[in-house]
Amino acid sequence: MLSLLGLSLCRLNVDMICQHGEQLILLGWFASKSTHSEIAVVNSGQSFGSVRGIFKFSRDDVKSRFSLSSDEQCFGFLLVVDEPCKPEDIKFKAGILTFPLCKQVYTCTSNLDEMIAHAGDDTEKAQAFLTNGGFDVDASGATIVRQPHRKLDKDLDRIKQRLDSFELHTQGYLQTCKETVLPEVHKIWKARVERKNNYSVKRFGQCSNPILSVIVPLYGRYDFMQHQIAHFSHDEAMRGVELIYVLDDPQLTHELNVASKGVFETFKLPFTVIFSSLNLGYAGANNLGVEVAQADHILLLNSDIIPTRSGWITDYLEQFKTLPDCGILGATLLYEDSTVQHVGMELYEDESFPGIWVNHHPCKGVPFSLLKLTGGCSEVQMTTGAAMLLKKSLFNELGGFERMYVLGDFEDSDLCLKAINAGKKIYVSHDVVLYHLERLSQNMLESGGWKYKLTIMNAVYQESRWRPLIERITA
Amino acid sequence: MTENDSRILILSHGHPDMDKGGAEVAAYNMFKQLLCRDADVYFMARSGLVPHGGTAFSTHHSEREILFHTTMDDRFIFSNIKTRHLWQEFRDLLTLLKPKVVHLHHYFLFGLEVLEEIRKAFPNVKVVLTLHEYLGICHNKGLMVKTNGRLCYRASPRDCHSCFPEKQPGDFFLREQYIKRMFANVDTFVAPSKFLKERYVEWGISPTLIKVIENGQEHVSLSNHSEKSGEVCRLAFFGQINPYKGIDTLLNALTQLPKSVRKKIDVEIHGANLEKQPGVFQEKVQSLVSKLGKAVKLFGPYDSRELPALLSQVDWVVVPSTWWENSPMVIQEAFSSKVPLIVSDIGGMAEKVEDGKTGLHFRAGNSMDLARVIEKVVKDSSLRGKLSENIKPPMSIEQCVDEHVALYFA
Repeated sequence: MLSLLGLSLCRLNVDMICQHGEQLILLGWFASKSTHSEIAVVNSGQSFGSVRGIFKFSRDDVKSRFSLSSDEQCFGFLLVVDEPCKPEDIKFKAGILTFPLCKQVYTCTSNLDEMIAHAGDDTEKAQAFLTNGGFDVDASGATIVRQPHRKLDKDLDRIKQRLDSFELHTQGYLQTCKETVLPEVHKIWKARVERKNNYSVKRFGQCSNPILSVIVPLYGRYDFMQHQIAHFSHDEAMRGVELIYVLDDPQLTHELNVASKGVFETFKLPFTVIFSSLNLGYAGANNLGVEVAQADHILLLNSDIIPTRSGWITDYLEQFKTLPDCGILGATLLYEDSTVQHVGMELYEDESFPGIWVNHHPCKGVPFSLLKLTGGCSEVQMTTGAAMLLKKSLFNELGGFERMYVLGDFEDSDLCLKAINAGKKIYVSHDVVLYHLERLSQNMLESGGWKYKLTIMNAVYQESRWRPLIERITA
Repeated sequence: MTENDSRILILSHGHPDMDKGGAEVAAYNMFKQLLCRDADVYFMARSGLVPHGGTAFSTHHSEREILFHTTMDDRFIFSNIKTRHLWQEFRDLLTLLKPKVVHLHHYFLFGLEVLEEIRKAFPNVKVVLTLHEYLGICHNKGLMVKTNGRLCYRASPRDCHSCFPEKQPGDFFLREQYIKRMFANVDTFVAPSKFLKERYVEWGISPTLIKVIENGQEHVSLSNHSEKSGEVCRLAFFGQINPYKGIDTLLNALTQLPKSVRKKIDVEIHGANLEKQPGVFQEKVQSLVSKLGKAVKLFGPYDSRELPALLSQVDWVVVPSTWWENSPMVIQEAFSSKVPLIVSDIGGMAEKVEDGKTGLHFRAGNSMDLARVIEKVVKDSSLRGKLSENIKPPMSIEQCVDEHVALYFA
């Protein structure tokens, strides 16, 4: 293949990038038949003073693909760019040729180890290179794992723009929200929800006649699966349980596939992974999982939940079957420091937003032992979607999770309200205690960005669906 | 012993021919001793070398010394499941080896799941794991030192998050739970110091599961200790030169000595890897050394075989580490040569060296206090002899292996 200007082949490819704060790490390869065998990185025409040097490794596959002869004309590279820069501003230069990063197709990764794994045979040298670049990936075991940088997709960008012009704390904000904001945002969201989703189901091992199907959506952090299965596999009671993970994050398909194989081979606990081609959100991912579920009972579980003891699943099911009119049975959820994350949810009329009910978690942050919740369970208004045990038939009768809560919020309380409306009761078990690891964050109510407005909008939607019932149960 | 009846497999995270850490040496010494006893023993060391044809294994010296070419894919939880190295290659080899005892001197670099593999392949195999530092507890290189340099007394998800803000408390909790889950495959833990045992017991391992066995030492025929020339007191530092080994504490202490005292000391620094340390640290060490002039000599790396000869020229060994240590090899080696020690008053150092009996303590990280102790030993030249007499020979490799064999087949 010959390129322009009579020059012989000159190719540059970026395979992977990892953004860490204001630094960028790039992995790729370069191949050239001309004498221009060095590459440089530029930012809008200005050369970077602070590319820390390039770590080169051989790419025999590329070399043979282009029938090249020596390492000078073909190499893989790993480089760290130090200056404040946006990926789209970066260009590579080789001789007179320019390769803008924005024209490249690459994977964004959050895991430097993954990059190192692709940086040639001598992974220890690659690691040392990154270590010298200020990244702590030395033998101490430190690795920077960062969430991939995500850009808002088109729909969300439109929703954000609509919400940016929506003023809270004004007279009549509620009316504005109901009459204009909500319908406009829903129009965008509805088209998205109705888009056709292609998914594939991959089974690792077999689980026949399960007594329970556990459905766990995965988004971003797929490593939670490894933690859960490590603990589940140590519990005999989990043997009769069908475990279904729903990957709601198409860009992680390859990584999850690799990890799933390793997890299955290591722990030998059968499980199923549903790879969704669209990002469905919490409601859509669970609804999809339930479609695939085989058992009569389903447990909807978050991925960042791990058990406190073995045998919990048996007790959970037993308790469910003995409770009168039980629609949904939640679990007691604790933070890692044994303070309460969840013992039931209540609707709470917010002082700063008259006419809006938000979901409130009573006793959140209280040391669990102070509650003296010995045995049994409590009947509650609602329970969180982080752990919900119910019959599949009920879930289907209720139409599953409502999907019109934009970006996920309130669909768990909405499901509880639907169950109550159908004459069922909601309980939270105190026998079943699980760890639920939430990220550290400031109080939601302190922020004022578009996500915050989205929460208010979703609350307005919940209220518009259930006002009479909400007034009855909060009376 | 007949083959396969009592086959022992020793796993080490490095081969001492390539990685000279204390744990690697301890593991290999045990292997060689077991071979001498005609035991059916194999030694498997993780290796960072490039293997032929991309294989997972190669041998080194003999077929009983196997190198395992693998590495972890997640260095936060020491996981190695994304390649087939553990769940296929290692499993296949293990099935062929059929060991009755597997003694791991580490899980680091192999991947923690190696414990799961061993247990799954042979539910009745005896799994022994020697703990060499606090890696299971502490993400900061297993030192139990905070990233701001302060000593850490107890890990917690929240405190660990303060050291590593890029990780959530929940991540540290998951890490701990995962490690404990893998440790559930171990029958017996071995700790080379009581201090290390206590730390792991506080962390959650049952005290009944951890046995304290000191690392064994090669027998040293005591060459005559060369008496000091005149009034000069000879101090020596042996080990890696990195910030946690407290070399700067020692050098700072020397600068604080009165000139009259400094004239009477001669300090030898035997240690490797200064060039691999952060630039600021290198500069600090170099400038202190040049400031001290003739009193200090930097010798560079040494081989453990040279130690008896080096120690015979030394009056005191200084171990000024600013982390807890476990059971530093240099202490046992100094004991073999009956050289008393000046050590930080914390952790494994305070445990192994008795203050006023086999050595002297100073306040860890405090150069003024170390200067006080150095002045004391310079002024009281009879102290060295008195303390040296109290030193009993450390545990030999033979005794160490005896204790382990009893554990293997208990």
